[in-house]
Amino acid sequence: MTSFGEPAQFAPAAGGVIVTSDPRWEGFELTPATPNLARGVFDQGNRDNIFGGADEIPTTTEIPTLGIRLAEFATHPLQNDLVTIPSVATTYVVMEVLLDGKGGARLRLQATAIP
Amino acid sequence: MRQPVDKTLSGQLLDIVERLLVDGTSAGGAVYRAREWPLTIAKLPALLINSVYVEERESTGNAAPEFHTITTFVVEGRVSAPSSVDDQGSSAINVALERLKREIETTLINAYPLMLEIENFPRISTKFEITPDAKTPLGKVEMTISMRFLEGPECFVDTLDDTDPLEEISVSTDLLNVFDPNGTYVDTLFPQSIPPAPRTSGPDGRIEGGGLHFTNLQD
Repeated sequence: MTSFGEPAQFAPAAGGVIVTSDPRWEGFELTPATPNLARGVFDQGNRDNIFGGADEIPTTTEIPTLGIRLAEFATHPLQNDLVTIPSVATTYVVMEVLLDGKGGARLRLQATAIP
Repeated sequence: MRQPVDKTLSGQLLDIVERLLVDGTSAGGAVYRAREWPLTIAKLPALLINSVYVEERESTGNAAPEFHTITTFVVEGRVSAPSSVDDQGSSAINVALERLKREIETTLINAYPLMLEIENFPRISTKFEITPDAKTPLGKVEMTISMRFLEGPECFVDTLDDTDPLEEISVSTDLLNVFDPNGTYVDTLFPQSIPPAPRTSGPDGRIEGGGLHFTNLQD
């Protein structure tokens, strides 16, 4: 399980603690001093063309996502939760929680101006 | 504008539009004309003047070739804003797009350099679009603007011979209808149009109004 994901610091919109500690977590340290530190598979997304209609000049952008195991959360992440991904030093807001029905979810993220 | 140049009148009008938008909108240097390559979020806000425009010419009638021409082009403003909770990024984009639209219309509509050349804007339609399917929300305002103007024969094949320029004009008028049914005047203008005496209808060849003389027209 050490290869699963990377750290992701949650700041739930509703407050409180949404991430449970799991003895199987290895590879990065979880202590009570860092509540809501979770892990997930962060994907910047392919840069692709949008606004690219037939006659339109596209704007290129990515759709970043974070894949998580719901079992590692006490309660599900929700829209408006903030997620900081240390590896890219960016704080995202959760735009949408896409449950996969198999114990996982893909969080669609949008970049914020929060450092 | 009426001199033969290497651009159509439509193309020259789009040059004016581009210059006005660069000077008059907050997009400033990010006004792209005839751009087909993709934009990135880092390049926003940007204005695109579509290189593809539609030009429709309708004849004014059975005379020298002269057209009521309507040229329709698209000015598209693109903006992006950082996201925030409760989708405040999209709200910010909405505000930015409204401002950009206002800038575009107050820059182009009734602008003196444009109004010198065109008769009117027969139609302007505006469409807003915001999408969340991006790293930060993206929006665009698309203004489809039509300009109507007159194109006379001088806009096409130039039949004026510059080696023999028009230097002067004299205006003489035969105002009174049959002042003298029997008189014949020497050195009258257009003698072939004067019916022989006695005449019951004009012209009779007697110049009542004259002396209008324009000289040095090329100065």
